[in-house]
Amino acid sequence: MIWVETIVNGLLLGGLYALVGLGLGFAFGVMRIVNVAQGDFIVAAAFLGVFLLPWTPVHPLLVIVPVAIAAFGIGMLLQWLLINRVLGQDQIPQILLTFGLAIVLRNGMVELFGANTRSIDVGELRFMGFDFLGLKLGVLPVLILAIALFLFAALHLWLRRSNMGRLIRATADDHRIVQLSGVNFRSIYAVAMGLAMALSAVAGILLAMRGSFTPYSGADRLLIAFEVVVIGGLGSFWGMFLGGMVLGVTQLVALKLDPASGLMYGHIVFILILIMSPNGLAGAFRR
Amino acid sequence: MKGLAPIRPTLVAAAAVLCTGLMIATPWFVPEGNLRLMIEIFAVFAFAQGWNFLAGYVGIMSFGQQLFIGLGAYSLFLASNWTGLNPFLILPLSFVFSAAFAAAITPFVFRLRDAYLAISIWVIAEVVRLFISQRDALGSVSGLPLVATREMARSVVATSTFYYAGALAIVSVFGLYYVSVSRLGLALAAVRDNEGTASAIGINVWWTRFFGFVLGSGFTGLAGAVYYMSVFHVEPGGAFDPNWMVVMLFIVIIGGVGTIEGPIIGTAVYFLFRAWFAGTGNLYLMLLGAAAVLVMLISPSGIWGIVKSRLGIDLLGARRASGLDAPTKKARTAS
Repeated sequence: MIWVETIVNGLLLGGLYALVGLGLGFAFGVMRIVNVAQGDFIVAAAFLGVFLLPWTPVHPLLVIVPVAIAAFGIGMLLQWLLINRVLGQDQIPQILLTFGLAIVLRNGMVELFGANTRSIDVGELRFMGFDFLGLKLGVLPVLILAIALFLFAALHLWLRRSNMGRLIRATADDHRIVQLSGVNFRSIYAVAMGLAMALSAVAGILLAMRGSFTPYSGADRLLIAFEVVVIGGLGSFWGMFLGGMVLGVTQLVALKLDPASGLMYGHIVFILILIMSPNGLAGAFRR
Repeated sequence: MKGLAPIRPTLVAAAAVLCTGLMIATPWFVPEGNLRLMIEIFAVFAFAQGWNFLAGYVGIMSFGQQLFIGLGAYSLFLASNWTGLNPFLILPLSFVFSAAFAAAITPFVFRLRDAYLAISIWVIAEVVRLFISQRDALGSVSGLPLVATREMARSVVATSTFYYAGALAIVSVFGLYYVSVSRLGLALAAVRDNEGTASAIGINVWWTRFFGFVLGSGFTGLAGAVYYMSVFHVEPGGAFDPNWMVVMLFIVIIGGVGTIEGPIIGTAVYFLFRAWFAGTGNLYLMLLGAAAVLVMLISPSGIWGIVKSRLGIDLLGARRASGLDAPTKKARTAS
């Protein structure tokens, strides 16, 4: 029974990991841009959450809303002011630019907030649990999985149905052709980056509520996001969800067997999947 | 400079001989403490040049080259400690081991491209770091000493390490020059700029990239072994530290990706920065990051790129358009 519980908890964690990957995967799908600073932005969002928490009315969980809005604005600015200037056939300038940004951000956070471990306090919600078919589950992890599922579905529908969603999909298909219809693809990119950042910010807040973070957590967050996207098959929407689940279950099962292993077995599973199926799990099913 | 073109290879060869001579003479004039700093500068320069070779000449960007620094150091330390052999004699082993490891991981990391390839090597570096940190036989988190150098005279150790570091620096400049003008260098440049065209003219794209990656990573491993030999102690947190990547990127970006001369400037700027901002800790790392962002916005070809386009100076004459200013870079991979 303890194993079933571990696996179910892994699935709950996996939903959150999928959300961590969603921002990165979405940005890559639309713009072919990999924002290497995503992990450190995720941590910055958590710090912003800690800062805004005292002013959040009704329930601490609602701190997600202002942070996501701020992250959307920062994402748009980031794209307008920096990344749009180095766009081109070549990926190297954009990747190096965001790498530089990641270094500035990470060390800036250490300078400002110190290297202490923190988390976002959600009151008694963190310790609430319930019995489900004989399994002891936490309320917060289930709630987080629900939020992740909701965001995946909402983004999916929004891209399918809304006008902006159509523009984004068209830009993703060919950013030069959309210009013929009078669309400035750079503006669309800015909106897409804003969205990617907002999604990552939500993931960052939720991670900080479930566990803890330090200014150095960005590297691990980035690796998780990257593994989720690659396991999911680079840009496959629900593949990413599956990727998150695989990582979440692997990590919790591995921590039960070998408590000192950290993220190592997650990394190893990622490498194994890469060896067996280069297009990720979604690619394996499509074949 | 055009008038020099016909005799330039001779001049380069002469410069190589001159530099080698200077390097051999240095320990006679320079005190031991300064030798140590020079070893560090040469090793870091070699790390940067190894990454520059991969990014600017082979067209493979990696965020995990600290993997090979660590592997090179660990393979040398372990081999020397287990067999009792003189580490200065078995140094080439670190090249062989790192290159072999690189060859072993290529089949699957090459399935990914650009940033995903870059980060997948970083993931492997993390796995190796965590693996070593948990094995007592490999020194665990506290690391390993280099036992064999304890009985040797300090000055002998310093001088020998200095010669190795000097050789690394010379190979980083002139070796890279000769590789880039060789047939391999031409093939690498062709593959970097346009894979489709390269394979159309009969270059085996996969094997060319494979060979470039293995060569560059093996060299980084060798440099890692030399660096840690001068420190006498290696631990996983330091050898596999992603901050090595920050240093390599900073040096290469500031100087100019895909040039031989650029990283020389970059290394000088880096060590000056470090001397000026020593003790400011994070501020200094922030400055490195901000400088990299600025260079990407202002002139992606770095300081050497500006010097070359403004003044028309091209010392070695070996530079072919790097990935950063080639008008037709490899077409986007469609899916």
